[in-house]
Amino acid sequence: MSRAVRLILSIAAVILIALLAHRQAEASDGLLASGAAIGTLLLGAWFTGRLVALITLPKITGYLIFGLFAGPYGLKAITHEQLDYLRLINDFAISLIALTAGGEIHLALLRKSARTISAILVMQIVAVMTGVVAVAYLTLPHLVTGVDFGSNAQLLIIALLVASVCCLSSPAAVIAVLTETRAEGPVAGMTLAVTVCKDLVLIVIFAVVVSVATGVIDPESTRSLVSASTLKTIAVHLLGSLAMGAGVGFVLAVWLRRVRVQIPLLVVFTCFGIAVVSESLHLEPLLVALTAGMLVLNAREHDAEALFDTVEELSVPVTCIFFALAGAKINPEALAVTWPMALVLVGTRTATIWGGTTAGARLTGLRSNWLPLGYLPQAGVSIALAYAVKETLSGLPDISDAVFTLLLAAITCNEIAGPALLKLALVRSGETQKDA
Amino acid sequence: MQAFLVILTLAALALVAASPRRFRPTRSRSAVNTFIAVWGSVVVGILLGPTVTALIPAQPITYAKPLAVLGLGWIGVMVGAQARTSLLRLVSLRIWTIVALDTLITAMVIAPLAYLALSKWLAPERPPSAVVALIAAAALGWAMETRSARVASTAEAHRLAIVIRASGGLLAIVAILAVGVASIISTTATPLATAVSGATVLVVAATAALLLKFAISITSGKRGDQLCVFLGVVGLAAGTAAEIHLSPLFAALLTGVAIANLPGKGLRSFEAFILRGEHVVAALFGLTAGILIDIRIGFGGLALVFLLTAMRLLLKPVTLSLAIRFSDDAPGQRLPASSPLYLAPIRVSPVAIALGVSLVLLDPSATNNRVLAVLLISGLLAEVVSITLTALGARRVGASKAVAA
Repeated sequence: MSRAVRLILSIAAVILIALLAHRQAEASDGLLASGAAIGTLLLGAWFTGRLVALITLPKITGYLIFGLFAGPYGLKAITHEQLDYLRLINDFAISLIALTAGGEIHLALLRKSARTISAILVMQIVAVMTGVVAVAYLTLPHLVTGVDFGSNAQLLIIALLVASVCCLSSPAAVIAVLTETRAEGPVAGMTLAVTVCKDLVLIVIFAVVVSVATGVIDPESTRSLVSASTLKTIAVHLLGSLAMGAGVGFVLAVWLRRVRVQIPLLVVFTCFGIAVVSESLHLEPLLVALTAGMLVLNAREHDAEALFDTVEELSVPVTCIFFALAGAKINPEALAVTWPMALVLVGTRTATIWGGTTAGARLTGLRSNWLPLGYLPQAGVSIALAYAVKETLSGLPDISDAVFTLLLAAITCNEIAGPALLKLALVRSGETQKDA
Repeated sequence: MQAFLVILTLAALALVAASPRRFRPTRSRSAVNTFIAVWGSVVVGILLGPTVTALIPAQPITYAKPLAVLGLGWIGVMVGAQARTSLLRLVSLRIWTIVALDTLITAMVIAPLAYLALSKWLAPERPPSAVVALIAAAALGWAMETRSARVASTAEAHRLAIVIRASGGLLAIVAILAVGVASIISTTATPLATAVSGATVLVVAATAALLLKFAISITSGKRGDQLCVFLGVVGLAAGTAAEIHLSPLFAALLTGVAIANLPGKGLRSFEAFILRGEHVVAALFGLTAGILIDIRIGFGGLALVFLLTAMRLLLKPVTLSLAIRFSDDAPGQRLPASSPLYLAPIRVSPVAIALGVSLVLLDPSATNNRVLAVLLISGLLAEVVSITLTALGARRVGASKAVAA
């Protein structure tokens, strides 16, 4: 029997067990059943990752496809209730992925490439914001039918919200593909550095846009468009995350210097600690873990090797469950409803990312035709921002639902096609390892 | 404020744990083993949990339950993986005698006494049969760890340590099997339903083992992939059992047995890799168990704690000695007539904690939370008593080296 057939049979067996268990459990306790969901997602996604790797797609595309296929919008082997209970696992995964990302960022290299990174970052954000705002402003009322987008100012602010979500790329997807392909080189390094920096800048931009949007949509609001409290919240959010990350990094560095044992225990507890405490303090787990990883790598590079070896061992199950969960949350109905506008949005985003990246790279003398493809993947953070947009527009229910569905549809496309395009860029640039 | 306290507590724990003094094995090996293994984490869990400081908020505790199911699965598979037929054939009659005698004494003496104490504690309610079965099963066997016992490193003591570890391992299997069968019988109304539930667990375990075997054959020895498929199999087997209200440990144990007995070279090296995660699972699991319990057990609960500890103190060393005395020494297999190691079986098997947690996960009632607290506190007490007595005994005979069993 060929390997592909055996993989398909294995995936079928995993889904069958999950479905049979749902059938036999008369009054299923979602909490307990979520233990089975972890097993189903890990095993099924891992097999699917192997299956799509046979046709040279990145494994995370397989993880996403399995999540979509087995999730609540697919075969229902994983239910909505089970997904709700896996939030802690999801936050743990984000922390570990960010710790990995931090462990890839050498400050010396960052300093050396600061000009190129800033140029690409600025040009990309300017290009996407301008391009998507213009296209959304002009096409939204025509392609999303049956919805009144109100005044021009309101339409403009909706376009701005859509554009700020479109700007975002997925550090998690980039890390996953880089780890899988073991890619090293200018495209790999630049993709990671710009994606991570863009994530930080966009947290600020998005908060400002939301603040402005709230003022425009709610004319009764007495506060100024960008209030002092908004700026204070952003500052506390960012600085608090950086401070906590520095604290975690310090403890990790002390442990690595003085103890040097029980590293797996250290990694697991650190990531759970970051997940739990960040949620309690309303901090950004991604930023906390990223700072901690960067600090450990750059302060104690020699000792950090043991830590990042363990992180790499844990990264396969963590990536597997993170992207399978992301896949399970994809609603294909959204795509079916809004596909014309979603395609316009995806096309505009791709074109403007391409243009912005190429311009930024050329300004600093970097020549790489494949670099723009690295910024296309989107995942969990983009979905979280889509929910934030929905919340911001909640005073306009029709618009809120339409824009949210549109964003989900566009993110779905980028989520599924993005990793494959990033892998293609790395392969074509000759930066992947042969045995990866 | 609460979150800041969590940070401070975690930082303080990390700094204490990071002290080099804590990692000087020659200074206090037993303390290191105890702290790093499950009991230290249990204490930390109790301190952070809702009944003491409530530093860990309620929501993460709820969301930690799927992880506890995963931890149970890991433990079940590791226990079950010991039941390789080629290994079981090597087990001596002496060890089987110990297993049989301990099972008999637990069923005839400890279980009835525990039932009486439970009836008094829970009066006017009758103790649920699942709880009685659990207390009895948790009393079976002992901890398999003997390295921390500082006794003379002679060939005889070494053999005794092996006997303690082997019998402890087999008794752990018996305990999980007993609770698993009891859970199937107690959750089904008709013989047909019992048969269907039993068959479901068997099918899930066998399928999970076969999936693991296939997956391992294509991982090319990559550790990350091995860990991923192992966690997947563990989650699938234990989680599916928990979803249909059966013991997750039981399903995982059967999966472990199936894995151990499937032919395949890769599976042996895979088992060795998985054992490396033992500490992480033990620590995470102990922490979760500690957070889940309600330590307000009252005088009735405390009486049960002391009864269980006293019975271990009195019966376990006697059980081991009697079984060894009644079985003949094979040539070259002589065991010491007296040794501080005879006190080692006072220590409770870590599987007892796993059994208690599975009870709370399947039925998180107030009674079950308090029963888990009784099991944990008596286990902790037995641990302290055993370590103290073994150390005192070793000092009396002037031993200086640990047994490397």
